Amino acid sequence: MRTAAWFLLAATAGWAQADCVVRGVVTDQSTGKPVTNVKLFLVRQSSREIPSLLQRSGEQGGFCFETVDPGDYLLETQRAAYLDGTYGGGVVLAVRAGSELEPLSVKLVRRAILSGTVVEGDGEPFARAEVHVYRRLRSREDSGQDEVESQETDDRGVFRFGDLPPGTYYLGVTAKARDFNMPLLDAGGKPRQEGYTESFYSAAARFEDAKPVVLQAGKDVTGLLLTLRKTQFRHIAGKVVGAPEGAYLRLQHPDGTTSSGIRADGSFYRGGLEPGQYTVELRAGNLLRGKKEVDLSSGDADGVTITADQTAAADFTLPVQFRAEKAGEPYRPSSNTFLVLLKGNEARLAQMSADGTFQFTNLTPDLYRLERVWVGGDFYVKRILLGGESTDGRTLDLRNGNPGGMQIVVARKSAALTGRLVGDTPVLSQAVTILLIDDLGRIGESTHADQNGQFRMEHVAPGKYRLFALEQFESSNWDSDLADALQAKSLAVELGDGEMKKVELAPITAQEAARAVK
Amino acid sequence: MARGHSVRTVLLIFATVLTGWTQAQFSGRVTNSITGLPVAKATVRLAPVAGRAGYVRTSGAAGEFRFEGISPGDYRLGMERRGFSPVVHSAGKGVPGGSVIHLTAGQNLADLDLLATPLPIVTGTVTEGPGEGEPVPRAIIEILAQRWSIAGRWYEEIDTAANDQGQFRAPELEPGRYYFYARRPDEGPLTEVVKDASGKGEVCLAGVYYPNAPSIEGASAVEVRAGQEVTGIGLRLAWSPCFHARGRTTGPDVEEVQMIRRRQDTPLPWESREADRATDGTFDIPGVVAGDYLVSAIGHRGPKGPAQEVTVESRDLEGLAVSGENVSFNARVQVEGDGAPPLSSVYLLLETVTGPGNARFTTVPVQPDGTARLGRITPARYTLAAGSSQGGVYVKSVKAGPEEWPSPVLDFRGGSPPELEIVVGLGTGQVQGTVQWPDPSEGAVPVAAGDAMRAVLVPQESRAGIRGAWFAELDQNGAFTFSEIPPGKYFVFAAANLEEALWMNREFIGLVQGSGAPVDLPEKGNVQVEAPVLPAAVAQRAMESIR
Repeated sequence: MRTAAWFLLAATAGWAQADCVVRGVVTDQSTGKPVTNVKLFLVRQSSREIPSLLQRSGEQGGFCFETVDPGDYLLETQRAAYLDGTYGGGVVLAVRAGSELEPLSVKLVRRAILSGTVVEGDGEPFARAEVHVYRRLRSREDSGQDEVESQETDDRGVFRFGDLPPGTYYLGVTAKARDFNMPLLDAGGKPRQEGYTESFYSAAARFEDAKPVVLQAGKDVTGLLLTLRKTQFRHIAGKVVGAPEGAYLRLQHPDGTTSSGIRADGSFYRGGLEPGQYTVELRAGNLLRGKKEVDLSSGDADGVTITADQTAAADFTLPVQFRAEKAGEPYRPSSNTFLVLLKGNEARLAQMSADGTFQFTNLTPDLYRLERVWVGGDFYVKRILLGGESTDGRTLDLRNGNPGGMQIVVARKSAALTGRLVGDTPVLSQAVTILLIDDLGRIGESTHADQNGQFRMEHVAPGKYRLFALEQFESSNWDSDLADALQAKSLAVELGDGEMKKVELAPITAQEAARAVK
Repeated sequence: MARGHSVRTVLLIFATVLTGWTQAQFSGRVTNSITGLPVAKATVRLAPVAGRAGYVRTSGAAGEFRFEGISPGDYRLGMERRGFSPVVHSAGKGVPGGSVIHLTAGQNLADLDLLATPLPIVTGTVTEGPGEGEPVPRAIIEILAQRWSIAGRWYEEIDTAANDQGQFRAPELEPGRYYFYARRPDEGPLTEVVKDASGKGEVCLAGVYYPNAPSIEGASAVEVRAGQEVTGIGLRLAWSPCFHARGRTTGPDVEEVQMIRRRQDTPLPWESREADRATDGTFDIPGVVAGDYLVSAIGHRGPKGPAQEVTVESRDLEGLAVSGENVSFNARVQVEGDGAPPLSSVYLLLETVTGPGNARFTTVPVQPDGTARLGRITPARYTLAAGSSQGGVYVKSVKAGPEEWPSPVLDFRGGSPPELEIVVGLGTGQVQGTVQWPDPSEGAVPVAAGDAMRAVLVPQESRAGIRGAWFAELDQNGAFTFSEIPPGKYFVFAAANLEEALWMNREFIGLVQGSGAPVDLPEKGNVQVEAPVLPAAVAQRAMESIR
């Protein structure tokens, strides 16, 4: 610790004579040695694109930005053989007029390569295999795998991941199914149904049995051999009686959904299917016109007959109108606006017309839930009306079709929040994320604290929230259970229309958050 | 018992003989087109054109494959092997790639030689900065092949990314001539526009063409042959001065403004910059390097309003006025000819001419009063055709005022065109024929000789409303048919391995027309023709000439 402090002092001493608004030293995180010739970009945080400032680290790893306009910045780094980085994982550097920042200690993580070859059972390299890199999920809601990156092998069957941070990873490999739209008969007169199912390094059939690969900074892991696992796929074939024009089949399986076309004579064939239980739905647009359960656990299913239900209810369109709550305030939804309706697990996205209006098309009469309304910008959804009646969107009764359109009333986000982190550290070296969680447990707003632990959120929708400050926050780990577990360290906040509030908040360390996950 | 056994034997023999009569056989071997060595483990497919089941085999150690018991019918032949092109070629008596093989009952198509073309490999490195430079991890490399459309030159692009050391390996390129362009990664610090040393100007990591040319005019194409390994394609990005393009955009629903680099009027879409339209209608596009550009407004459905040509020199471009007003299409249509269909059954078809595969079609219905209008159309270049639910119609003439439309292309990029007068005729015809092989002794082979051979029909003179070219596949007897052809004068060719777009180039056609068979198709005519094979040397010379 003392050595590092001395080094920082020595390395920045060269800049002592210069007026450095932002200065510091770059070192290798593993060895602590200075890293020279690092490109350091001081990137302004602004809604409009402002040119960044570029400096390179000198012989002792020191750097100095002399002229920096006041504003909020991120310090990004780039150098060959190291991972691209952002100082402190995203610490906001607040530069104020006439003041200099405390010297920064920027640590670079050496790049490590994870590479190898994918082969078939006979040892022949396989081009275009899909290699997936996973981490184990630590979330309490899900203990499965989380895909970090994926890529296809090249013509030599080679894969290479060069941007992974140090950690423990798991590798999966598979290849796309081919020839599934028609039977291709082999020399024995049987459909060739060989394909590949995902297998995991080193030769595991299940993710649970996969061997971990530990990647350390600067230490390449090369020459891994991934072997594709062959499997016999299944097929479904048969005919549809009375198929309406444009109809297709949707095949639902616990691992995913796929589809099949129907030939003009009503026949169909779909190969490349994993063994298991399938629900085969006959659909015309979004309309369900027939259904059949098909078991492919022990073999193919030939001669499946699905008869179209000619009495199925007609689909309908639900128009959606936006208006501002304040009379006379112009509001036009942006193209980033999106609305999602859910029926069971089936999601429908509203379509935007050229004139800026929205509509849900091809809905079938049923109960729905308005899963998401995103209006973006400075507005938030204040109220939702369905057929003129107010609704919270959790249950939309569309069993009788369109009840008279949906109206979404928006209001300008008028509240604001400023605050500071309380604790022992005078200058942050790790990014701290401030989360504003609404009463439904969703992330309403988020921001980062600056190097002095100060933060602000403008244009916040009025309402009741809990405020969290988290080190090394990862959105994939965030869920309502974690929010509950950390509630004691959060702060309840209620923001009124146009209100500006000041708060103080204790940060939750990464270790505390990890303990809560466990 | 013995009698029963012999009856079964007779039935078995009878069934076998019957199968031989009613089904077809197909066999041959797969060889490397360069080395002549057998290609083992190749997947050979016979996919039915209309049937329900196809056939698949894997070639053996000597490259051999054999299909037996094939139901008679039309099939497409496909081949797949790691490191080889999926395009099937054949030597001597072979099968044109992707073409239809007609197999009849009892037919035995044997000793077919399928040539597998080994794919070339191209590798290189992207660096930046002085001296040896530093590798640029995840730089984007665009591999460009020059193509032609009826409106002129365009480039087909394939992109790939460099690895963490700035190295790239071009994926599955077919043999051909390619340009290589590298640009900064899509994300990360190197995407930043930064202030230069003076603090007044701005620099950014500018893209570069091989061999380190800042624009496509200075680029050199790299010839890549089958099985060849081309290494050491070095691309050096440079921190170069870059500028802003600022202005105001008008028109409804404009979301952003885009600048695309151009070579004369050919857009180079891999060199583009864009910025959002601000609420007051202004825009500010940073990071623009000096060069010629097309500027256009973009709505949520793509380009809107006319594109304008601008040039960025050594300073910011200020005061641009970019219109996002809709471009509209207006025409008056009349139908001529005996038994002409009612106007309401006629429609116009506009096809963008960016190139095959990228083409978009817009249908404009004709109203009973003869008007055909579309209030909003993407500002682009189009070809025009006419159709009818009853078939047989074609565009006879296109006029703007008293003048014939001067070009085969309708260019709407500059804004709404004047109202067009379109005459639709009735009476398309048919051109049928066979290939006139250079060596008559090969005329008796059961399938078409030559590699990926097709018949091509091109108009002797191009004009608005008539396509640049028609293509027909050959059957195994070398026969072809072109249907729904407008009356007029044409050339017919048989040609192998030439990209479709080349036939849109009138300069190319001018150079090879002496090798074509002239055809004069009357209204509702049916003309027979023998199409000579375009000699490869003639085609090559013509291609070299137009490059």
